[in-house]
Amino acid sequence: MAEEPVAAKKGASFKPILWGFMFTVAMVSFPGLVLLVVVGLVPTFVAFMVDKAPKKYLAFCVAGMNLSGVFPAMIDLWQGANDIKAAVNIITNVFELTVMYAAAAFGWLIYMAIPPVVAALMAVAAQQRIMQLRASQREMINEWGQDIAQGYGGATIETGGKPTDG
Amino acid sequence: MAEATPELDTVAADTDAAPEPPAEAGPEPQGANGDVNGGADDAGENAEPEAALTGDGLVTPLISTNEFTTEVSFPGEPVVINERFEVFPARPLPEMNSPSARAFEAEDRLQPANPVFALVCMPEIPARQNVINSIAGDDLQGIIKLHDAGTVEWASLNRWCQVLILERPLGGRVTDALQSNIEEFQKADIVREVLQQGMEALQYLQIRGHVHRALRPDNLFFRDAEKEDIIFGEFMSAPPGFDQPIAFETPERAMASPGGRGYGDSSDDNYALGATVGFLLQTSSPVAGMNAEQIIHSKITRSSYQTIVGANLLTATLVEPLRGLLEDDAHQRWDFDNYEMWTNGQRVPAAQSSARQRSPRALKFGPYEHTGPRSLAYAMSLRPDTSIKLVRDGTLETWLARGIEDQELADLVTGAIAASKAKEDETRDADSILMTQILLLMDPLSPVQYKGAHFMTDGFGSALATETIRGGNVKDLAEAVAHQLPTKSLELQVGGLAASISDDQLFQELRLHLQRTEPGYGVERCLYVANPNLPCRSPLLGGRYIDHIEDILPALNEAEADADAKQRPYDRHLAAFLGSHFSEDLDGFLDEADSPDDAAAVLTILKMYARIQAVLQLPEMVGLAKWLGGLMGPVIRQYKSRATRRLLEAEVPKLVRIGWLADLLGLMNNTDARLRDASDYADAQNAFREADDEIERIEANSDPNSDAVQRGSKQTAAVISIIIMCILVTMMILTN
Repeated sequence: MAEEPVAAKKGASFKPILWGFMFTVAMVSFPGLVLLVVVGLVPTFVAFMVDKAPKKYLAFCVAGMNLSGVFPAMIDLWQGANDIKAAVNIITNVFELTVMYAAAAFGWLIYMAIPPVVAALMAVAAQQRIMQLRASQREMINEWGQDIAQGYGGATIETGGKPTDG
Repeated sequence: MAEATPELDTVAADTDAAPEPPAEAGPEPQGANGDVNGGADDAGENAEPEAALTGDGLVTPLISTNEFTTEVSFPGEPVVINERFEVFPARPLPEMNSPSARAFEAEDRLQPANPVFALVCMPEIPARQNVINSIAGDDLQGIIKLHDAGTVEWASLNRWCQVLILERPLGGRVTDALQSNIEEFQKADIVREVLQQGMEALQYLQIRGHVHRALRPDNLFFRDAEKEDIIFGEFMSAPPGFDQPIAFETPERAMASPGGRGYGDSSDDNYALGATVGFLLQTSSPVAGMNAEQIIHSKITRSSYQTIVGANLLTATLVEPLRGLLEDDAHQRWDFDNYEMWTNGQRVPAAQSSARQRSPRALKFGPYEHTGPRSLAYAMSLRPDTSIKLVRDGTLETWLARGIEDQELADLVTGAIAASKAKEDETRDADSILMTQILLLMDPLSPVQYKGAHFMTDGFGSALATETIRGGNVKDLAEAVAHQLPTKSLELQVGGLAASISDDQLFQELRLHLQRTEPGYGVERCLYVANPNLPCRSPLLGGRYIDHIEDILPALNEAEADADAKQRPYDRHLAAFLGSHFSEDLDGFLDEADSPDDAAAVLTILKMYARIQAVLQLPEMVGLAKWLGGLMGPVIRQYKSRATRRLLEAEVPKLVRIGWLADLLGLMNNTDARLRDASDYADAQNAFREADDEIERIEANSDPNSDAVQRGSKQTAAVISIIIMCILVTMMILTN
């Protein structure tokens, strides 16, 4: 028992180091790609920081679309020189940058537009389910009488312990 | 019809005369003066109603039955007994009436020349069914022949009555002949024949295992038109001794109420024959006009012979048998052997005169001065209120010890008083119990006399039946048994309790039944246990005369047509009758049938009746099945499933049409179906509860502003975004 917090503490302290190590390796191995991703995914980082929700749905929405916008540039870079210069060329290209950030904006738009629609759909589904359950309960009352609706609430006690014709 | 009773004008000249005691009957009744005769007023109060009830001791008044009187004008169709004898309700035969039964003309279909008449018994008086069953169809020497018996619905009463088909005596009543203008020697011959043929008849009856107990002058007939063959009249329409005027009963049995005089034995018949002959033999009776107390007091103090037989005899040749037959000590009373010795001219040993306890100092109580404990006990029994003072102030103990000089009896009385004082806090009836015990100690032969109940131990059953039927004092009888007073009486008889163990067992059983008040127990159970031949008095039977358990369910089956369908075919009398008559122990059923739960009670009744139908192998009973099936609502409602209920409701009419209660019971009492129903109901309850919980949960979580919806919708947005990304990336990869 006493060891778990220590292990968690060790894991927590090790994680940034691991991320730092991986970033360093990537930076050394693919400097252009890393530069492109860092610049291209700025809206995602912003969204990640802005989103206070624990599950970071906004960040996921923005990140998904943002990544879609960055991915063509990544392919170009991968198929091209794949160095820092090529990366700079891409990120200085307004059109490329607009595609990346517009995609991120579309992701933000999804985050803004989808939830109300989904909430409405969920409400309809809930009502549908409630109707189903109510119908099922009505069938049970028809089969077993009103007592079944009151039985677990003390109805048998109220009727003196005798079954009613309900 | 009531006035048609044959009256003994020769011996009971003035039945309406005021009951003034004659000079020879004892001291003149005293006034209310004196220290212990305050009960004289009680005597007047008590004696009058008793005299009214029992006539003047010589005749039995016809039992009031206004319902029967309408019969004369009722043009009813003949009723047929056992497909042989036709009884004509519109043709009464008042000259053949019995006190407890009414006579009507009848015809024998098989033998029209066979002279018969019908006696219709009062439906409310217990006939001696065992006697009827035993002698029906038999020729009994010296006894009127009972050809047949049956029960029919008597239209004018709207009740089922026991009908006895008897041979019709062609010579009429013996008393009519004695009242006619014949010579005295002829009368003496007739009386001599009464004695001769009567003794032979009683001996034959004893061999058959019965006693007559209805021997009195107006119950003697000539069988033939020539008036030679004398026969005794019927004795099965009422309990033993019930119809007897007290003059023809031994003193102790005369003290009991008419219903409680007891079965008795052949010595009681011999006594009644002696009294009958004594009355027929006299031109005037010494007891005419005496009331019951005067006659009994005289019998106790002077002897029955001196009371009944006066000086004006038709012939003196019968004095010896009269003296022997009227001997008050039953053990010294003439039996058949003594009589035979006398008829053979042999000398019959004289009865040893019992050393009667007499006090030189008479104790005045009531209208008489008493010198013996028996007469005092009888007088005390008629005046319980003043008697208890006599006991409490020590007068009685002192008189017994110093007057009678019976220290042992005085000590017993002292012990009883001391025991009563110890129990005063336990029961309110301590005084009455004490009085009963003291009366029994003073006169062990006397009946149990507790409050208003006066009965011989062998007459408890008929006493209870009589009081129940007349709506009389059943409570006192029940209390007497509950206080074990009959056992006390049996203990004091010759031979003690050991000689009467079966009688005591009966009273102990009755006592146990009285301790319970549920249907099937209590007084009703005692009634049928003590009177196995009494018809069931349940109103549900619609007045039918049902005295066999085999007939109960068929009677209910018939009664269903007129019954209230909402009423259960079960009540206290039915329960008690079934409990006492069925060969198996029904107590478990009786207990459950009293359940406050309608379903349990009705189902138990069905179980019980199904069991009876099966055990007694009774036929199909559609009516009763319909009646019970209509009451199965609470049982059906015990099933929770509506579908099962509908199924049962559809099945019940089908089974009702079959008429087997066991089939109906099988449907209603299916344990597997009940368990399955209960299990399914529990499952359904859980499912309903879960659905309720889910609805509640959904309602709570379907609000657009709720966390769940917000979280779900945002999650959906994120998923959509990632899916789009995946699609686009895949397409880009594929296009490159």
